[in-house]
Amino acid sequence: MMDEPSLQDRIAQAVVDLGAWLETMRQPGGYGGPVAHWWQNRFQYTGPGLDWRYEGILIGYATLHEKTGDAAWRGRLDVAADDVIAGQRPDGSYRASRFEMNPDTLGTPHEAAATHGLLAAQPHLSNGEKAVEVARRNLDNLVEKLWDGRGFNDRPGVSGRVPNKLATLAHALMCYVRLTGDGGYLPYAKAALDDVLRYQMAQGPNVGAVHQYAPGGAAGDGRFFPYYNARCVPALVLGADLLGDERYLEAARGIKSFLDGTMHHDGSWPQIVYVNGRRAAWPRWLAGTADILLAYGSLGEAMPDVALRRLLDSQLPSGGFRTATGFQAQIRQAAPSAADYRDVVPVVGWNDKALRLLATMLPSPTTLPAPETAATELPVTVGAAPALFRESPEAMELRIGHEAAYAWDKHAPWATTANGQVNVR
Amino acid sequence: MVVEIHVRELAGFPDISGAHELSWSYILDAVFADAYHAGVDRLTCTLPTKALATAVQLRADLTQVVERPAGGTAVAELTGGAPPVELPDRLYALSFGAAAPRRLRAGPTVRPAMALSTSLSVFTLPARLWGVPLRLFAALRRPDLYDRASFAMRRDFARTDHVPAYYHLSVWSRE
Repeated sequence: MMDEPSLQDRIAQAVVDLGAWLETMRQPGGYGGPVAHWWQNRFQYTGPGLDWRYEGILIGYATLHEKTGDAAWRGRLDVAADDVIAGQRPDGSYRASRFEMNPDTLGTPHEAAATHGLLAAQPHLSNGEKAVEVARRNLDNLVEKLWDGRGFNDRPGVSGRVPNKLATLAHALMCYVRLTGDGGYLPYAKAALDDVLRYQMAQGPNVGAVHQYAPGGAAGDGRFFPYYNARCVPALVLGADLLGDERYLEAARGIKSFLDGTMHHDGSWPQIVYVNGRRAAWPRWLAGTADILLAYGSLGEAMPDVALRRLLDSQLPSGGFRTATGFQAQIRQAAPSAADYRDVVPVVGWNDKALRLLATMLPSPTTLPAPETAATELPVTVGAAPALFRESPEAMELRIGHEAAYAWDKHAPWATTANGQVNVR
Repeated sequence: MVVEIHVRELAGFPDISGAHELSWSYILDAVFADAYHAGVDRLTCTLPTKALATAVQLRADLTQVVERPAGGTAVAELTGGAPPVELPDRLYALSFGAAAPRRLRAGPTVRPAMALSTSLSVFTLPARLWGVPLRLFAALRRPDLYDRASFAMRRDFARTDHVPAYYHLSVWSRE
């Protein structure tokens, strides 16, 4: 066990180092950088993404401002909020909002997550009224494009339910209601949360787990992601309170049981537990683990210490957190022998989750230390080739021998070099 | 970046979904990444379907966010058509390969009087062949095997050399 003062000091240092790293990832229009994810990767497009990264950034900065009273955090918060506000398109959607499928628009759950960030941070914003207006236009557009009369689809005109995305959307809708007192969105939030419950396992070895996807809105797809299950919890907890329905809280507790039962001894979780009992054991999230820990916190439960320790240990000298372990094993699902480049490259849209969690864990009021960051240099693999990952405040690169497999100037919306082995989507 | 979009609808051109949506993310990103680093500030783009126009305009908007020295011109002929008579600083030429339907392959072979800079084969034949086990695993209700096969397909999806594929993009510069 880490003793409490040491843990608090460690979190305080981690959060300021992470804040310093995030500043290096800014470019005109917002926070950029490559994306590694389970579904796809984006290493060539490195421009701003107005996606779920803004949920954690906005909430994290607002929390840091609240707890420290330091105007610098408010300054960063206002700049981040202005990214989202300025990036709203005429129809209410956000520019480049599909994260691992950027650049594209109408990203789910990404637009709802960014809007949730705006609404949650709104009391701390200089431009708060505008933020509410932008949030409303975004939510109106999501309803217009995705509502099919009974629930929300994942893509316009394509029938299907994705429970974790519905939870994020419900969270944003409920935040709007709570902030403005306008209850017009409540029936939509309730429908979204009811769909989460509909795809939760009521019995069997995966009791409490929620299916990832229900094509056609029919049966679930038999994939249970611990990470995405955790993403449902904060919205269900809020829904139980705002909608006065204890079923949502019971569902959140059921998910927590699933998380308890699937955590490995080292504080990691498998990527997927399948209904047939098999698993996609790899990759296992690092920075993203923060959302799982946040789920425990939102239920008022103690976070698994080993998982928190694993998260903190994954911070790089740059201040960014590693993405995962085991991308190398994504296809074969045999234990990885080395770190894949996608494991190590820090991604803003995962680090925002760490920022939000760690800011939440700080005492209030608090004083933060100065950041202590340095350049990162680590051995990785690109495909089968040994490579070297380097990151400075100005650039990221992957070198195989003397050859640049990847090069990105952090001010550029496109990588200078992304060879065929790195640019795998 | 200022972009001028033209559309020349091709009969038999597929919907931009699934593998073709992924293909066009590779193709358009390759065009805009190269144009950005080549200093292009004006791109004339001919598309095989109007469904791609929004994706092109979005990339142009995002690319012009960063102010930098520029001044070059480029043409993206993405319908398999002939290059323009007046050659630009950069030319992006798409052709349809062995994995594409025959009627899409009917266009002329593009050989501009320019230097070949890079090429990209997208939606390769090996990637297409992964469709067989993918369909099998879906029918067998084995999402675990389906997921693994889909990542193997993704690994084989694009190559920077010329291999049998649905799409070939070649990037040319003034000699």
